Amino acid sequence: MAQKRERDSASVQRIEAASKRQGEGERTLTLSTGVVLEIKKVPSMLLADLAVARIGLKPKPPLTYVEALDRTEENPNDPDYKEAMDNWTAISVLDINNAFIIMGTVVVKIPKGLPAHDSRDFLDNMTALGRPVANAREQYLAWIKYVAAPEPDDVTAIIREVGRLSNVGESDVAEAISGFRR
Amino acid sequence: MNLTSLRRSAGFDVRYNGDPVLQVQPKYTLPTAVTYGMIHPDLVAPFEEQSTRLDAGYTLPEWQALAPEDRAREVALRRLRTQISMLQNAEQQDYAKRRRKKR
Repeated sequence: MAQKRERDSASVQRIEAASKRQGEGERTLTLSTGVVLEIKKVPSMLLADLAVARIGLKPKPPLTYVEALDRTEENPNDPDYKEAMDNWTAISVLDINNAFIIMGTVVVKIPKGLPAHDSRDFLDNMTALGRPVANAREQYLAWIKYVAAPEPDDVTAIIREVGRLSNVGESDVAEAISGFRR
Repeated sequence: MNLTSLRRSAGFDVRYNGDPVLQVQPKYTLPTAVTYGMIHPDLVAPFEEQSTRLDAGYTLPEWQALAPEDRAREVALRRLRTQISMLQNAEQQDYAKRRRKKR
């Protein structure tokens, strides 16, 4: 328990340190494993293209006849539709997370003892787990998610840091709003 | 000259009946079917971001050149303004109701 608290506290410190950096110079992020990433802006057209591709796959609510109104209306509370929407949202978020990791990060430092993304051990593990990686970028993505950034806070910090460079982060807005009250 | 008076302050401390204005639920808000596409739940929706940029008078290159914290401050300021105007609208509706009752 104490170990978990220490880990949580370290994660919070890392996120806070990252959020306090000012300016547009080179930004780096240190993950819980000690891996250091350089954070880059993601092309806005990539995000727009991903969004357009997702809209085409968005589930549509079923239509139901409303007797009182004598007309057919969409029913967004249909349980099957809600489940389909949850799945669609989860896959959409995963797509963006992957785009942020692949296009928005570059490894600057790997601590001693951590396998590299092209090491035999790591690739064998992926194959054994039924997650074969076909090319160098897939290797990189899997390595970041399973080796370099194993904690949920690590991924949160990557998304937050890449996201705030490319777009506007909700956490930055919340911080600005709390500043308005001071 | 007192130099501290030139320092930019973000501490507006806007309140409604003593509560921070952004924590107050405005009366008479109607749920609408309008939704905005989002990129990621942790990021401001592109429509809100670009509306903020246009309202604040930034060109796209100027906006992208701002520090992330400054872009966020503009979005926060716009939310604050929107909230104030929703609360003022509710007050106006209450006032109109009271006047109708008097007649």
